[in-house]
Amino acid sequence: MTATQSPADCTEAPPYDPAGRPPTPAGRQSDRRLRLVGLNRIGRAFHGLAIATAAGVVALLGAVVLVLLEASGGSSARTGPAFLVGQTWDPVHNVYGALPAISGTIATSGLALLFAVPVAIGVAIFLTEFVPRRLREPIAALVDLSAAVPSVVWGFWAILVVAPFVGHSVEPVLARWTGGAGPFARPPTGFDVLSASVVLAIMVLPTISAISRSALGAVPRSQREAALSLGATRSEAAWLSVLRPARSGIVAGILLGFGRAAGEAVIVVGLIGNVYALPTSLFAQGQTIAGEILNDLNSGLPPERSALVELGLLLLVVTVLVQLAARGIVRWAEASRPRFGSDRSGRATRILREFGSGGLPPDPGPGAPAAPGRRPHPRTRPGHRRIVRRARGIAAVALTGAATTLALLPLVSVLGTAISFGGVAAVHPSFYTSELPAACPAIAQASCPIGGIGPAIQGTLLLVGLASLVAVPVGILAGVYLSEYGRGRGTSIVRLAADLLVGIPSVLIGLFVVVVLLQGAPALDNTALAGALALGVLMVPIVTRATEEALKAVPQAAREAALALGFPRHRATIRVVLPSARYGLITGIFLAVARAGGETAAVVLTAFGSPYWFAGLNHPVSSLTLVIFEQGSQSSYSNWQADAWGAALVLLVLMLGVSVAARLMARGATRPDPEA
Amino acid sequence: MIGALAVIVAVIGAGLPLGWFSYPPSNCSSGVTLDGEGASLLLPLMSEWEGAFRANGSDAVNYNPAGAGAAISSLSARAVDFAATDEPLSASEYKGMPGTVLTLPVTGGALAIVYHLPGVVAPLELSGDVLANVYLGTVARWDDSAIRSLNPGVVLPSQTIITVHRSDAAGTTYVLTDYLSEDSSTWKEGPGTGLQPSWPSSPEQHAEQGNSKVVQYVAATPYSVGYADLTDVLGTPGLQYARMENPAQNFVLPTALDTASAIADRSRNTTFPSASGSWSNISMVNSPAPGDYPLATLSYFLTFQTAELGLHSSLARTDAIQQWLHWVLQAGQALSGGLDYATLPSNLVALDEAAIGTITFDGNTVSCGLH
Repeated sequence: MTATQSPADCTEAPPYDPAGRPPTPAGRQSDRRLRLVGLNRIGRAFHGLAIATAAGVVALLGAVVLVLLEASGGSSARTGPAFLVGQTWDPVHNVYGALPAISGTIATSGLALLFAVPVAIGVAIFLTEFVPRRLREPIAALVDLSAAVPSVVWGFWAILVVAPFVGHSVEPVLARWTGGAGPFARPPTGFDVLSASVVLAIMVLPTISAISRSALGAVPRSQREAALSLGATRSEAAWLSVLRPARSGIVAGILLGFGRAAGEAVIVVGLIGNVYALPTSLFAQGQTIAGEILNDLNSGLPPERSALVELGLLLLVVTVLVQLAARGIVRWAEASRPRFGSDRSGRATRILREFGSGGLPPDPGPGAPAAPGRRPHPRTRPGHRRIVRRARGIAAVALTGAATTLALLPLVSVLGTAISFGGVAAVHPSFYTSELPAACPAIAQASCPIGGIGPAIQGTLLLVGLASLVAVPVGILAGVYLSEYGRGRGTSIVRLAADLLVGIPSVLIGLFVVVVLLQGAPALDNTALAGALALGVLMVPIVTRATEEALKAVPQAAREAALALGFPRHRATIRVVLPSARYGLITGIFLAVARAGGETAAVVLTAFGSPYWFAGLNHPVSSLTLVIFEQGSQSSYSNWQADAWGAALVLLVLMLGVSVAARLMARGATRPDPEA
Repeated sequence: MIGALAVIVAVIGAGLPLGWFSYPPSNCSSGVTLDGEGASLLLPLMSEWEGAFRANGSDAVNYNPAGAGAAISSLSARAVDFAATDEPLSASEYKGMPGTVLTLPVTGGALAIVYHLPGVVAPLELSGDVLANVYLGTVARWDDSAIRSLNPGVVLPSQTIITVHRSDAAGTTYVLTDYLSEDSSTWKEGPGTGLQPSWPSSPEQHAEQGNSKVVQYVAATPYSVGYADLTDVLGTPGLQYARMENPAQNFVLPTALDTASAIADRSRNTTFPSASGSWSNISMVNSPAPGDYPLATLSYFLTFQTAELGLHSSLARTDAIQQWLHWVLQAGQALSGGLDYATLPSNLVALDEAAIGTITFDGNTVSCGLH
């Protein structure tokens, strides 16, 4: 809608001097023409480049799908549909079945949503409807900040905090109440389906609540005011005229949350107990598709590897379908949104009546002040219902407030844990400059050196830097195509491809890179380059979409002014549109960098890890997330634990810092708008 | 802003081909970091070896304890310089390799059977057959008659046994299943011997990645039973481990000494293949001598005989591999005993040394000598 009204061939059109000088004497005409030809060439080249990168984004999605399809061939040919219903994973006898992983994935993500959705919606309602304006921003910022905590840190924290709590305090109580029947059978251990689901819920909660919040925020003020003016209390107004219209957006957020939970590998591996069996009880150990891939891909020989790729394909299909469903719902809701002047308040009246107000007060007249919940009820027996309604109002505020407190608890706990366990190591300057020590079995505890995470910090900077080097230019060009050059079908295909790529679980991106490298350049598997490649693939679609959004926020008038001054389209884009969108661009890049810096699953599968300093791009490399995952979550040596907590603290500070910076940038981007 | 970005891109872009892909310059090694991957059973020892080897010369080793399965997979993908495993390559794994693999025993170790029984003080006595039945789920409670008859006089709790196993493809698991297959025909015909068998559905089970996590889990979970390398077990104060029945029907507590003697006794009666041959029949479990601990194992390094098949191969890197292997067989052995691993018998050291000499790079042997 931004670029369509001006023809794409306008790069050839402008017969003006870009600087707006008076016409030059005839003798210099040929010079000018030459320059114009040159400009046209550059313009066309830029246009072509933008199209090519955009096509590259689509090709990337195609490559992920095709490569996984191709690599799973060996497995599906051998086991066929039996793969879907088989229950064993037996590399010794080469028998593979996916049912336990499929059901584990469904069970954990389903439960995670069950826990997260009510809380997330409560947070969203509390923040958009009840909280005083002044507190809204800071609380929202804190909730959003939890989204910046990398899943590997959630997982490491949860092994120490959530699993013992669930295993010792929650599960025994549940088992006692229910008599240990059905889903509460088996002795509680704290490393089971329930624990994994709880932590997945903690991880997806900020995502769902952010999307719900923007859906609620998008409901026009007039809707609330209509309900309030009809005599609804604030909580009734929130329920009737805000929550219902925002339903579709909330459902879309829930679906995206499901996709994230289903694709999460690191948290699952840390908490689910890693037993390849059907999750017969909440307290049973199990496995998910993503967890099985992360656990076994590095060790799988070719037959098992192709079975793992087939598992990955299943996950890919599920996440893509879920995303398409989310898009469909949003689109359907947009299409069926009532036009101005429809019978909104009529419906609100009807629902309000069902709601138990027992009939509405007569119209107070246009001049009457709107004091919701306080107006005297004109009915003869006013007391009872009014008390009920007011109690409901208070309960709604209390419940949503409690949900918000609950949502903030994990962030507080994870920060506190990281500071108290990682602070010991992190205060030593040498922690940032030395290598990991030898693993220290507890016998030698007295002389256990703590060492440091220098190579891990170096590795993270290197991996993210290299990935950005490719992903940022590519993403910006593809975003420029979408916003400035794209039209019609092509644009929507590129946009869809970028959206789907954003939603592909990182463990599958790691799988994709491993499969490609093992086919094409096996010497580059398990190297810094492989890790950077995986992170780059993760970053491209994020930068693409963020760029598009940032560019679209630039007023159309700015482009038109530039074109009217005789700027060719590419110069208008580079000189006018991109600089005006700089805050949005940098925000997008920050988000992509944060995503890559906190990524674990893809790095575990590709970068191998190393206790030493960077030795070359064709060598393994360490990273902060690798130290937390391998030395922290997957071993129990005391000095490595201390180092991993130090690494978690450093990573948290980095991620939260980037997130805060991105927020400030985003505020800069919208500064001219006084409403925001 | 865009201009600045372009400059950064150009600078780093130019840096890539120049220095960021590192290959050692000369034929003799210096400053080489070898990449190894393998069993977590070896991790405590490898961690010591890494440090000592690096202090000894200019080369270093980066060991990733991702498990034996991961290591074998990486070796076949030519992604590591050497793999470490407690499982000698099976015939099919050998077939998946791109070239001749040398199997080099480097140390011996013991598998301890760990358990957590509050109130039971004396070490439990267990046999391979009973342990197999525990993992098969047919012996499901601690006070099962099979366990009671092995431990007369011990008051056993009436609790479900939580079996703990490794979630990754583990050399440690190979040793356990090797032992269980020898002592129990049901196990042999069922799950069988391997790095990652399909675990039977015992009533309560749990899986962990890496030995140190297994140890930690058992230490924290009453009524659980698991298996791990002796070093990690001894490093965890208060952890209980069982006396295991050997073929002479004695119950033996694992120690470095009884493990070394088991390995020495069994290797005396074993005809070892050459390093380039198949070692899949070599097993150190169930040594026949009366005092030997039955769950002993050799740990192997696997590397390509034709080093050009290896990772970023070069003459210098080949030299580094040889230096490293020599060092492990000589200086490295002195460190084994201190960490409760078993020093290698001299016949195996001789076998290894001969094999190291056969490593070639593009048809040439390395002539740097030991430095």
